[in-house]
Amino acid sequence: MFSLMQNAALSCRGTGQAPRETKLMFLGLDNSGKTSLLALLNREPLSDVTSTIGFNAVKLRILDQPCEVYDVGGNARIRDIWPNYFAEVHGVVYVVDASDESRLNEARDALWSSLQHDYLSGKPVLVLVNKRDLTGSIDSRTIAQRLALNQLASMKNKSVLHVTDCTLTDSKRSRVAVLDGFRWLLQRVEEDLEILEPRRREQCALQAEQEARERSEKRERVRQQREARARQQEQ
Amino acid sequence: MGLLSLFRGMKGEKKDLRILLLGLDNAGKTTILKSLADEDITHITPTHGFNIKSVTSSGFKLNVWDIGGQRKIRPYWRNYFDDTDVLIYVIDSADQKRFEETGEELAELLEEAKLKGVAVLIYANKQDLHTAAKASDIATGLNLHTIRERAWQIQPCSAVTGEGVKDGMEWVIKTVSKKKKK
Ligand SMILES: Nc1nc2c(ncn2[C@@H]2O[C@H](COP(=O)(O)OP(=O)(O)OP(=O)(O)O)[C@@H](O)[C@H]2O)c(=O)[nH]1
Ligand SMILES: Nc1nc2c(ncn2[C@@H]2O[C@H](COP(=O)(O)OP(=O)(O)OP(=O)(O)O)[C@@H](O)[C@H]2O)c(=O)[nH]1
Ligand SMILES: [Mg+2]
Ligand SMILES: [Mg+2]
Repeated sequence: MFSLMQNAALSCRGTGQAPRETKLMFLGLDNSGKTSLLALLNREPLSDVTSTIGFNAVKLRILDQPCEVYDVGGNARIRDIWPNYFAEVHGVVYVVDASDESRLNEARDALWSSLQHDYLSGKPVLVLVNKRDLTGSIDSRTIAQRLALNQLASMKNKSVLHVTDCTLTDSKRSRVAVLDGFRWLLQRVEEDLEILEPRRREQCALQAEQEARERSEKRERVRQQREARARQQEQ
Repeated sequence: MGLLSLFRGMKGEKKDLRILLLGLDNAGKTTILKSLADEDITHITPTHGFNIKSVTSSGFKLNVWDIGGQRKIRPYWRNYFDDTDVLIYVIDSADQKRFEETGEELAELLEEAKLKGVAVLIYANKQDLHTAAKASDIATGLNLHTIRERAWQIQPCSAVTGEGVKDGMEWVIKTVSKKKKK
């Protein structure tokens, strides 16, 4: 119970006074470049990145704004965990591998189902069309069509979207291009804050409540299982 | 594989890592430890106390503590928490009946002050057994999705075939060395 309350408090940290922290989440299929993006922002060597089948949270300053970024695995085997983080974030970066034509439908579906989620709809999304250095990679206009971003932007509870090409390398040029995208995202969060923040707080509270309930139910089930096993062993 | 550059970054720093290997009885902890050390895995019996092994990997000395997971031994786990660099939690991925129980044990571990902020690698072991669960089901069963204050990673593996075991260690080294630099 203690840790749950702590979790809930943590999740909604930054809602009070003090310098506000912007919470962002990186989404996208496996191999699209989410962890590489985080490494670039954090000035870590991109060569050390390996595939994520889990979760990592990193606090860093992006364009002088204190941020916390959630980086999760994009593989189909782990993708179902994404919605657990939607309530907490102010905005999303969706990374697409523009060199992999064969997975664009999958990338579209993963984006659409995320943005249709109650806790994410209406939050700003920066779409990074990545790996543009690779020959044959697809430009952002075409990607926007393939992901059906126009339709997405005209839905009820629509999110504002911003699409930009990028390449993730250790070069300065790459950093500058990426930061341009983040400038848009952070500004957008700032502008929408009066709407985003109360909503986020409310959703965090709802989620914390639900998690607490599930945890105590789970505890009870485990307790019963253990007792049943102990009885079995006595017999 | 990028590990070399990590190694260079660690020059002059402590390269001994203390790794705690925990999990329910029968999860495969001892088998994983032996497999890491390239030892014979055919005659392994339940662990009543603990085993320690030092394995060298990419210039790091990993001191791995494998502690018995039977229910009556679990209260002693806490005697081993000090100075832990990474927690490795082993589960039998084919034993879905016990996901909630193992999740509860893990949740209690993660509440321990001495393990605060320590990254967790989950070895989703026994992947050779075709009934193995997918990563997101393991994450849900173990309540991993409620974790915010530390990194976690699921590494599917089989201690019997050796598949995935070394990959998990690579994540461990990378994650810890990044943290130690700060
Ligand atoms: N050529 C090229 N390769 C890139 C670029 N960005 C990332 N990569 C490579 O793409 C691969 C996947 O990158 P990651 O950052 O691990 O991808 P991810 O989205 O975090 O993947 P998961 O963790 O599996 O979800 C790595 O080998 C990167 O080096 C890019 O702009 N150009
Ligand atoms: N099929 C299969 N069996 C495994 C695997 N890993 C371990 N086992 C078997 O699972 C059983 C338990 O393995 P141990 O290594 O003793 O498990 P442990 O976690 O150390 O158990 P305790 O010491 O009681 O806590 C043994 O019969 C192993 O052969 C695996 O990857 N695949
Ligand atoms: Mg990743
Ligand atoms: Mg053992």
